[in-house]
Amino acid sequence: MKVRPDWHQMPATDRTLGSYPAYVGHHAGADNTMVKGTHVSSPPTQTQPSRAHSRIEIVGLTKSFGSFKAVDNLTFSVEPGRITGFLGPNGAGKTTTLRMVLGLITPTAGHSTIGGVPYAHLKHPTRTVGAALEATNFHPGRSGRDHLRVLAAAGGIPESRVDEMLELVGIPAAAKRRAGNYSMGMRQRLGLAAAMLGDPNVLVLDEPTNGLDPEGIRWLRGFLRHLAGEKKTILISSHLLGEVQATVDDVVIISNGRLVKNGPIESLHGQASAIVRTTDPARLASALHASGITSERLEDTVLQAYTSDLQAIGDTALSAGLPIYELRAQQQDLEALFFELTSQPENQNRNLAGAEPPPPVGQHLPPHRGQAPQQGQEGIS
Amino acid sequence: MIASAIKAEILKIFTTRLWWGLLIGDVLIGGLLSFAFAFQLGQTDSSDSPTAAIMSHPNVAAAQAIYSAGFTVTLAELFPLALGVILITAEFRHKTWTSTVLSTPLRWPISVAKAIAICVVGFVYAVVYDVAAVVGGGITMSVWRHSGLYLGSAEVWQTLGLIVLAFIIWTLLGFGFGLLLRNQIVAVFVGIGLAFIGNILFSIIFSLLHWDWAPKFLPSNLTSSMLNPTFASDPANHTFAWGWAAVVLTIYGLVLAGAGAVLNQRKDVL
Repeated sequence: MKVRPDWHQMPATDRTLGSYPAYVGHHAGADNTMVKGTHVSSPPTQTQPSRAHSRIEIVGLTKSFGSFKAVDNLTFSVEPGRITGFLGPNGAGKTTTLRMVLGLITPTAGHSTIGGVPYAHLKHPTRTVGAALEATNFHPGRSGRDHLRVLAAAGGIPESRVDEMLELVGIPAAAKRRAGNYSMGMRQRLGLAAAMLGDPNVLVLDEPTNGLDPEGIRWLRGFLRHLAGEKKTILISSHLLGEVQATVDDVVIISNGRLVKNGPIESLHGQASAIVRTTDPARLASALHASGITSERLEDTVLQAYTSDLQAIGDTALSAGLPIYELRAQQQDLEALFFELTSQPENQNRNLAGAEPPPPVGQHLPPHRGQAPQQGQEGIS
Repeated sequence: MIASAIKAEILKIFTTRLWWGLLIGDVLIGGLLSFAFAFQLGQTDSSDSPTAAIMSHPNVAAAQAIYSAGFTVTLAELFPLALGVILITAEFRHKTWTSTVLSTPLRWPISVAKAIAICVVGFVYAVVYDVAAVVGGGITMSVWRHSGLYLGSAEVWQTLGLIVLAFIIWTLLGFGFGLLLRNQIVAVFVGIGLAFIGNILFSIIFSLLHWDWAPKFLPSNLTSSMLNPTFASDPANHTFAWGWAAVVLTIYGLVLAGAGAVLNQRKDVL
């Protein structure tokens, strides 16, 4: 599984970090050095008071193409004020589901509503729901600005919003050029500007991080955080959990069109743990046990302690007179977990039938990291 | 919602280079054909053929034939046809159809808005085309044939006015065609092929079969009948009177565009 290197380098705590200066203050302890040098655009100038009832509800949604069941009896809801990650491997049915929610595809069975109303019956669809489905939905011969002008006209949105949005996503200079010459990152930004044009309360973004550079991804993360702070309902799809794990509050994981997991992302993390390397792990283990911390021996000199309190481990080791060679919080390998969830026999990717089975989870990890944590197995919904 | 959709569709047409690119081509061809066609004026023997009779001396019918020469040779209408095909198939090709449907989830207002936008662009085309045809034909008529331009004649203005209808209907035909075929390259080739080569081919087939009644139903023949009332009023030519030609051609356009719109009504946007 290929994970973008820029994501690996991002600490998990970065999710609390808005690239928006105005919002950094909201996150106590945010690493402000990360904000410096980040391109910052001005926040939307007109923010409407939050309109209630912008929950997305999906009930028994099913879509068959001939004998192929792309989406199979899917039920979940997306809550306002939270960023929900809609995850699954390629071909799991994410895009089909999103397109059914947006009234583009007629479901075979089931239904979905936005604030209790099916998309097609919304009075002002693009002012209620902003959608960015593909980064290539532009006429290559039309300028980015004209593209937005067309959408503004169609949605009954004042044209002044066009330049505001171009400013907001940081491509005002490119807006007069024809969209066919845009880089992938600029297309994503233009798509986001299009989605935001009607100042909607609900945002549906399909793979918004595709083609964004690290700066763009960080910008997007802060941007989405800012929007969630305005009580907007945000649903973003991705085939890489790692891409969104720092961004989302809730996850909905599907595989082969069926729901696999649904719940807050914290419930995926499971128990916090730390890796500690010392001379005598057995003695440290009993010392830790005495202070109420359970642990497990991984290797000759390595212990996995089930706590997030590194200081407690250090103090215990000091009073036990044991040296510490290494002490760090165990990284939650959500990517491995995601992979495991979506490759269980019943969830194995139907598009890869007959292909080599994937390597067992954990084998690709560096040896000293020990086994991949097996959390998340206990139902998280 | 429908007013917003119309505004968006008109903006769509005029924010890419397609409309003026095709218009330049059409106007150059139309102007040149009228310019060249006008040289026949006074050079033909009135006993040769009905067309020759019209062109044998300067008169209103000759002016109508000169100004609509581009349509008589089945070239002028290919441009609005291509415009209609490309405008709609570009939506599928570049997947802008997704945002169109997202903005206007009920499909019929999209079809109505597109039809109205086509009337607007058809009008613009017709005005520019009329100017080019009158200038092109007029130069030859006044400089080399010592003929008046007959711009005071209501019948000439009727032809110039019906060119508006011709442009709108041919763009609508392209629109319906594009909706049915969806693939841009295929729709352009098949559409142009049917209108141009198909017109010649069917004329030959009908004449071999001695189906004198059939050629008048071909869209290109309907267009020239509509624009040349004197020619059309002669029963020997087996054509519709100009008014009926206009009605039948309009029905073609509406039926084809309507069929495309209906078939597209519930189609999934993938």
